[in-house]
Formats: sequence, C-alpha cells, structure tokens
Amino acid sequence: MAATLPGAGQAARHAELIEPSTEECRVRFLGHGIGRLAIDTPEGPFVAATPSSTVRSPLGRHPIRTTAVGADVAYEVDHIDEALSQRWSVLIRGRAWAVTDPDIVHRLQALAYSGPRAGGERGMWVSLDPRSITGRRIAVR
Amino acid sequence: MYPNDGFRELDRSECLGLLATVPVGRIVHTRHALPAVLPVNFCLDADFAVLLRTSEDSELACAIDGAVVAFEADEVDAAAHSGWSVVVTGRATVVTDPDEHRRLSRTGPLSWVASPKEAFIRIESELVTGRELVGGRTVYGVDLQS
Repeated sequence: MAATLPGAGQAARHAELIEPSTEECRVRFLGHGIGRLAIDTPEGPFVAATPSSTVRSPLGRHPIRTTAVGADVAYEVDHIDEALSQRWSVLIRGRAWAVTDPDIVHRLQALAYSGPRAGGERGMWVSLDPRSITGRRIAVR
Repeated sequence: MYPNDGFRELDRSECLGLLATVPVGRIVHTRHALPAVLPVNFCLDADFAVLLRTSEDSELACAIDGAVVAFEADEVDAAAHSGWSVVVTGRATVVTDPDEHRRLSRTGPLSWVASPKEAFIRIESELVTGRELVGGRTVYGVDLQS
C-alpha cells in the first residue's frame, strides 16, 4: 500500500517539460518494445499493453476487436528513468486497420516469430495509420 | 498448455496487489473524441481508488472530471513474454473537499511537475481487470513448446 513518499511534502525540484520533435518521437518509439493501445468504446476507454515493433495486437483474442478496426486509436510508449530523473512518452494516433493481405500477414509472422515460438501464435495483425506523433519529455534537475 | 495463448486473467485482489507495486501508470481518456494516453504518478487510496495529482487547471483535470476513464499499469518483458498488465476503469472526479485535499497533500502521490495550485483526481476502481503474461516456460525453465 502506497503511504507517504519521502519528500512528499516538499516542493519538486526544477522540472523541465519538453515537447520533442516528431523525429525524436519516432526514434524513441521504434526502439521500444511494449506500448499501450487505447480505443474509445461506448463503455469507456479500453486499453491493452501490446508489443509495438511487431505491430501485432492481442485484439484478435479480445471481444472488442470489431470496435477497434476502422476506429481512431492511440498507441503510447514511455520510459521512466528514475536514476536520471527523466521520463519520456510518445503518443501515436491514427486509424487502425486489420491487415488481411495473406502475403503481408505471412511476412509479419516470419518477422515476429523467428525463434522457438515460430508458427505458434495466431491472432489479428492491426496496422496503425499514424496521423500524429507527439511526445513529452520531462527532466527533473 | 495455456488455453488463452500465454496469459491468465487475474482476479481483483491480485490486480490491486500488483498495482500497489509500481509508482507510475497511464491515464487513458478521450480528448476531442480521440483516445489519449498519459503517464502519471499515482497511488492507491485506502478504498483502492486510484489517486492522481495534477495542476488544478491542467487540460487533464478539465478533460476527465466526471468522465469514465481507464488507468493502466504494467511491467512487461517483451522478449521473455512475461509480466503483467492491470486496468482500472471507473469515473474520475476532482477532489473538492478541503479536508480531503489536505489529507492527500500529505499522503497522496507525488507530481513530477510542481504547480502553484494542485488538484487531486480520484478514479473509482469500479472495474478492475488484469492479465499475467506467461512465457512458454515452466518455473523450472523447461520450454513448454518443445
């Protein structure tokens, strides 16, 4: 249970909030493994942690898969570095499309599963057509 | 073999237990009809509501007051296909009671970026779901796929 944190009552050190360029956001995003896919549904926002570099989504196994395809979604990755007192996050937004071309699906499967799990997993591939890439970087000195 | 393709569903108490082990999660809300995701510091209140701290006039506080939001936290190792993810969905409210505000100023979550007037946001843990990812290995390190 989270209780009083050390220094909770003190003023924060000087925090610098930066909005990185689209290019920096892209670079940080491409280097990252796990992100969160967020979709708006009538019941409220839905979010699932899912790998990014493989462009694979667990949506194929989720009951709301039909809501996601064709919808505007957001995909977020972030990293918190406590040692450097730095954190960054990148948010990609756009429309989600199901990848149905069998040649492309086959190529994605091969890229994603070259190890012992090859041929093991099925599921729907979702491609995100990015409309905007934004980010934030906070450094505390 | 795992019927759900390598993960198992966690029950509410398992989820809340895991949530208490990390300091940062992500608030997921709708902004201009599009979903937005933002990492934030948080902690759990005694009744397991999620508590956030933000500047009073922040876009976030305005956007989510009274709205249903999702709050997600995870610790995932992509390479090992292991870890967990928990999502709390519920209504968010800005704390207005002065006594509550005082209490949370002492015991609530830290905010990375200080601001002159801070607000606390409560997210009721109405719906709590979570998954534990399982790598294809037993606890003894034997590859289950072979």
